[in-house]
Amino acid sequence: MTAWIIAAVTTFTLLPLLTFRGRTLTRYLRLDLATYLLAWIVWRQLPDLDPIFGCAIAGAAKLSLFSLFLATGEEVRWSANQAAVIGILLYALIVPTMLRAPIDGDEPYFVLLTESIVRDFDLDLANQYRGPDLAVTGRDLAPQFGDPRGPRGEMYSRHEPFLSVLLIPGYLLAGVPGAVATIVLFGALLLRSTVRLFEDEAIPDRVTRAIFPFIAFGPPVVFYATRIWLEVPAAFLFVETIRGIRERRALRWIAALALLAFLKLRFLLVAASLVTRTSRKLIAVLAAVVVLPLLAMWLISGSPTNVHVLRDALPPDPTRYLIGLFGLLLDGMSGLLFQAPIYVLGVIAIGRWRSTPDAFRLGLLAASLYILFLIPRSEWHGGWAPPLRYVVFLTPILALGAASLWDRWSRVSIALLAVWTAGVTVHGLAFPWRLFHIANGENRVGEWLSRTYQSDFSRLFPSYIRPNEAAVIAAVLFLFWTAAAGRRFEKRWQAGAVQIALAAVVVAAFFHFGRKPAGRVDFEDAHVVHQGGELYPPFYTVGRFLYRGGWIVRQGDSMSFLIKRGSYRLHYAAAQPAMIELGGRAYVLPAGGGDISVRIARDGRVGLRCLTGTANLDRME
Amino acid sequence: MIVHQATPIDRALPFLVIVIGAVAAVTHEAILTSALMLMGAEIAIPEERARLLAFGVVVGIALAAAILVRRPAWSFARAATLTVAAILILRWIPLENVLYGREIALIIIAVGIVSALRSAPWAVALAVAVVLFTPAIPLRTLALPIVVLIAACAAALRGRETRALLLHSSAFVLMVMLMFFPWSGAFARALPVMLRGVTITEREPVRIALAAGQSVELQVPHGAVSIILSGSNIPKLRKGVVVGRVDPGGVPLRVGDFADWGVLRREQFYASRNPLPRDPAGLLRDYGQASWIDGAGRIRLPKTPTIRITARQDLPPGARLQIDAFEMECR
Repeated sequence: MTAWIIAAVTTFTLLPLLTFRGRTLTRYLRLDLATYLLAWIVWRQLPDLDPIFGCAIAGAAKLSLFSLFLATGEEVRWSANQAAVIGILLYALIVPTMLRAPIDGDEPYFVLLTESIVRDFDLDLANQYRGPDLAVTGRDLAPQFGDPRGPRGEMYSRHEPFLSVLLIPGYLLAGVPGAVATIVLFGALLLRSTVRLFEDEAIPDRVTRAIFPFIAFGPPVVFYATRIWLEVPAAFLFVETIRGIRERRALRWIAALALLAFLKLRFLLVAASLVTRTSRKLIAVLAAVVVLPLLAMWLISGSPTNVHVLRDALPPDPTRYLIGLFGLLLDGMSGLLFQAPIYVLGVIAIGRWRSTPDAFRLGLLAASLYILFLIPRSEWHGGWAPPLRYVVFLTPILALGAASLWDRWSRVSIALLAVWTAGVTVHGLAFPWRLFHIANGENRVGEWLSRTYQSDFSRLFPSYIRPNEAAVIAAVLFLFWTAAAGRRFEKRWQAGAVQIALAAVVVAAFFHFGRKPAGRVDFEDAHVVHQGGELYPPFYTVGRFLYRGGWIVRQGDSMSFLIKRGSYRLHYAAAQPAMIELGGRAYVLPAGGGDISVRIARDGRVGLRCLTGTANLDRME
Repeated sequence: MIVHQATPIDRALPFLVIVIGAVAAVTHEAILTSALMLMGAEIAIPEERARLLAFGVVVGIALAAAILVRRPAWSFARAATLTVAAILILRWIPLENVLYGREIALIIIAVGIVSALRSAPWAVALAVAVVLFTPAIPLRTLALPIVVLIAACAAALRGRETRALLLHSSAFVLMVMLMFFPWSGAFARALPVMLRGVTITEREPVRIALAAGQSVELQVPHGAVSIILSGSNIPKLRKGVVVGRVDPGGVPLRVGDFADWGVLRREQFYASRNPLPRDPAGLLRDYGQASWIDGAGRIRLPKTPTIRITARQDLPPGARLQIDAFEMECR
């Protein structure tokens, strides 16, 4: 901890020295000193505060101050390389906080694959799963669902091996931290390319400097640049592809696109979208870009599409498109609005298509097929990964769109976005394991408030994972805001005081209704006070979001929750007949499953107790 | 709809929002975001100390930012608004403790100081500090801000220019003062204790008051490291006066090791001769301008199973040596 604090102080001293000059530097250093004093005073007042959380808050405060000076300072050294240096310094500081918990999700598999390549010179993980090599990941791993098998029992990873190949030098030098350092370098390259993209598109420097901290220090990039995921290298290659096309440098963009496709086959959809932008001469080259990764995967796994099948590409139920699309935008757990609201400005920029930069339009068109195939999938939210996994590569483009609208937004809106973004970042840095969520329809804020007040706040956040009423309202409001709002109307709403007043009303209403009994209860949710029983399916079930969640109760287990009076259907599953007591009445749950009719006599807290048998209680609605 | 916590500071949230709105109106609209942050803290932080400190930090940063923003240019209206806003936050919560006549007089004096010092940023910090540290009870304590006002007028007559260099320091000083607005009274009367932090440790209550010459033997609980003492009816005793002793060792207990229990109350502060305890162990009580810290002090225990505490024979009439509690762990 002490070493990290020394590193943090060094980094936060280096940042301004490298970036500011003259009076801006002097002013910054004065305020920087004040932040240390402020942090010391606060620490003295709250000795019980979790030191990591406290450091994250202090770090975010200093970073916010730095960002403010970066955006508004008069004497700032600014270039794409400068941005990369800032990124390296910051990400290097953040990596130890991320590595406080073992790497998670797909990360250990990438490392295991690297381990296999450097030790065995093959992609067969069978011996890794059996032997001590597993220890390098810090996790007790088993093959993932659907991993390809070789004819002689070889166990391959479902992941394309290119990222693991990229990790080799870093991994050989320093193990897992070295592998993360490789991603940090890609993070820095991404920041450099993004700033260059902004320069190419004639975005004014002051706007780039203002929006840069949101991209570099805000989610999702800050989390993916400090963990072992392929999203940041993919974002870098995507930006390079777009820049290459815009600058008509065929070799550059084709190389970047090829590497992008090698990283993950899903990015072939980006290549496919670019066919129409390609001259006839380059069609053959583009075809090679598409074919080579497929060929490589065929050689490795025996199937050119690896674990993907044609059925994945077929459009399923059309409502899934709506759910996925609005989910990516507005979902409380994994939507842009709540996780990285700055990029919502980029989405809104789509409404001003003609006035947006060319690279923004090109980037969105290139990603359109990818998005079209992503949104109807059940895993549109990213699964067991930090939020916004599948759209990280698109964030620089969305940021470009946001930059094109920058001057239209009031400083109040920007301040609100900044405060929210800082909050999400602090939370992720202080509690990196909370970046992963079981995708049950709640989010961290909702869970926290629900536990604090023992009332269902989560229902007020739009959820498209477990679609709720708030999701419909949010979608309608969003459409109204982006499509129906005329310019005059928009100007009126741009007044800072109006925005704050509106936000205050929303917060007050949110808090008021959050404490009221709900008309539905999901028994696994945070607001339900459980006394005994267990979560079902278990927390670490792969693809848990694909199952109906619930809470298993056995004889003697009980729970209580706030609910409105009225008639409800209680959904459950039970192998044998069970009996529960709910609100003072006994109900028999017949064997099998389904739902029974129950009645709640009055608004308020209701107790549920399992009298006999065992039942998996899903929800009451 | 938002306010649901019990303290007067929570109940004053609408008042705070109005004051911040006024500050934003004369400086920068983005300062209004702090109103939302106050609401967020009210909702999301159930633990009282952390919540009130969060309020303080938000308000402090908002007012400091109001000093630092470059546009609109500094003017008397801006400086006076900031001064009045800061004084309202520091001295008018809780409202039921406000002595209206004196407080209005203080505001007028503060604005006078700002005006005399040509509305400089540091004049705002100075005026607010002077007013904050004025108890206003008894009335003659208003002499302090009046003297400062006269000095400011004299400086103005001699044509001293204000210095821009002090902009950041002024903002910082104002921020620190406002950070502690939920306990502004305690901050004003026990500044070093507040800056170092008032810690709540595990204690085993004793609650014995010894009159002159009385003595008590106490079993030291397992794990106790110090004993918390305070005085009763000893505000006139000066630093170093022996009040009692601890045996074994005959360690003298002096004014300065602890103080009169209620000496840091607003009503008693001015008349007291007690210094702040050397190792303060008092607890924060009440809120806003009415807040105070009791005058308890911490005395390290000798490593013996029992101790005897004896009050001095010739204590003033009515004076008591109070044994508040054993403290079970080091800070």
